[in-house]
Amino acid sequence: MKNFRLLAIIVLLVLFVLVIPILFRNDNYILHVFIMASEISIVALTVRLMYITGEFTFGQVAFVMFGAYSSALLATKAGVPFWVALPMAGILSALFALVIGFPVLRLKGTYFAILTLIIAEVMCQAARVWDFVGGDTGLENLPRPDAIHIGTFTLIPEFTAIDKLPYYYLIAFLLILTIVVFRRIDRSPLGATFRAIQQNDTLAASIGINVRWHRILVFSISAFFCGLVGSFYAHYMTVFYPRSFSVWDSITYVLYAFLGGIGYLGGPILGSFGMIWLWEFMHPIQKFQPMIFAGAIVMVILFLPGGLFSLEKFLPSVAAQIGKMSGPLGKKLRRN
Amino acid sequence: MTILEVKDLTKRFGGLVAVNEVDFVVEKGMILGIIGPNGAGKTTLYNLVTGVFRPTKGKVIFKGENVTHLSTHRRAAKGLVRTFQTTSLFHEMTVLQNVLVAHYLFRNSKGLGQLIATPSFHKEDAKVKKRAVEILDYLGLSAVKNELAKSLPHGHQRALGIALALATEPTLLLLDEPVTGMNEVETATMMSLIKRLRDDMGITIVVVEHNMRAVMGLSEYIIALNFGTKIAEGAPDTVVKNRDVIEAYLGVEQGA
Repeated sequence: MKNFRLLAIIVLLVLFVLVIPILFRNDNYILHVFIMASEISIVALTVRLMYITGEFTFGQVAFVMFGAYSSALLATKAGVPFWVALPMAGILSALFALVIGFPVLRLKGTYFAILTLIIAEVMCQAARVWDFVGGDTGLENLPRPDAIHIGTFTLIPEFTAIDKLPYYYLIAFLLILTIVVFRRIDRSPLGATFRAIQQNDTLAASIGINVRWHRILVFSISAFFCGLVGSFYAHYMTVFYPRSFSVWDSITYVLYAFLGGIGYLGGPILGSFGMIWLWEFMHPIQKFQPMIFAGAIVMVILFLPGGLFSLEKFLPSVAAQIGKMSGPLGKKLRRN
Repeated sequence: MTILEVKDLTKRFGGLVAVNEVDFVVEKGMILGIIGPNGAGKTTLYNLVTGVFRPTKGKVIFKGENVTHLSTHRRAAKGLVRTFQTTSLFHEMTVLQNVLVAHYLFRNSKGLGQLIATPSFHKEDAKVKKRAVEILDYLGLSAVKNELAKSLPHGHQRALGIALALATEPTLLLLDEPVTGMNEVETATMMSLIKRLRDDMGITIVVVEHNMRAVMGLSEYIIALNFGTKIAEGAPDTVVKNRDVIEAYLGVEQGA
């Protein structure tokens, strides 16, 4: 089982960083869909991180937005290069979460979820009337990430409008970074503390855990990664408006995380990639999207409460069945 | 030496006085019993002492320090720890994971520092694991350490509740109905365990309990509450003979 999992991870990684970019080198449409799916995966992963402490958040778009605006304003008003603005956007979003976390995280459960929804909407409306940040027309002509050369060696190539491959690799790097950090959290005593808070916060406090501080911490960590996504989005699209960040986005992050399986690290990623590709295949019937979405959610809740990823436990036996039939690969899988 | 001093402690919920001007003192190394009929204010008193509620009036002094306005986790860090009346555990974790997570205070590394695996972190982690196993051994839970907490029998769940408290290295342990719902064998085991906690580890113990035989057998000193007010205190055999206590439990005969 463990070997099987490792094999699956290696296969997916090779697909993601080698096969797809090589196969679709010149297909900007396909690369663009993968880039969007990766962005959304990161945010859906932060939804899961919040859920580990027992909180549902519908406000992640607020941090994406904060990151996008911070990064864009730093670049246009202060001339900060993208490679500095990117981590700055993450840090500023985390600080923003820290500041609003103190009052906001006095609430729990549904009340907290509703408040996050309101914050996201308020920020969107505020940005529309604030001229310093571009008002309703938003910010445009944002600089693309700069190339970095060390001597004659090109560390980072040129980012252009016609070639999406550098963007693909950048967001792939950010997604892998997010996965590595979140997996580390899951397996560390910190992750255990978060789960303890989710399962019984009164007991957690009684054994000395500062529940509120940990909630704020997890809120900030999730905001950091949302901020990175926002910064990437700003310099990838090079133009955005307050209405680029709607509450509907926040809701889809939660739903993708849920559909994929919020109990698993792979769940939000599966949900995001799966659903986004599904929408692409169903372009002709796109007006029915909300209906299909609702139906899918109901089906998953009824028949697969662990999300799509909970099917993973059947994979080895399925693979073994296939293995019985075919040659060397089957033999290898059987051995595992 | 006085470990805990409760002075004039009062809690009102609207018009209801749940705890009314209660005073008592816990000396180091003693086992103190708190008795009283249902609704006497015992659990509210615990919630005031551990900081779940803030008192309307009065003070809680722990090891000479006024802790009345500290939060629960700050009091736990000072060694004032409780267990819960209902089986309160991290139900979706295994027994071992429960005790490991309860070593939160024992660890020096906190927050994001726990994400970077430095040599000192590994050393600390090994120490925590060793200690967790020792605690489980001590409480006779080693055989079930990989079971989910929710799947344990009642007696083991109560023992695990105590294991969590022990992991925090308490100096004063407040037990809330530790033998309620237990059969006679489980009760006897739990009673001898509570005595051992005091004798082996020097932990001072306060116990709220309905089971009279258990609380009389354990405690060296008893406080009786009724309607939030302290009605009697003293050695167990004098408290049970107290007229007010008998009335509180059995009621007053009409016209007597």
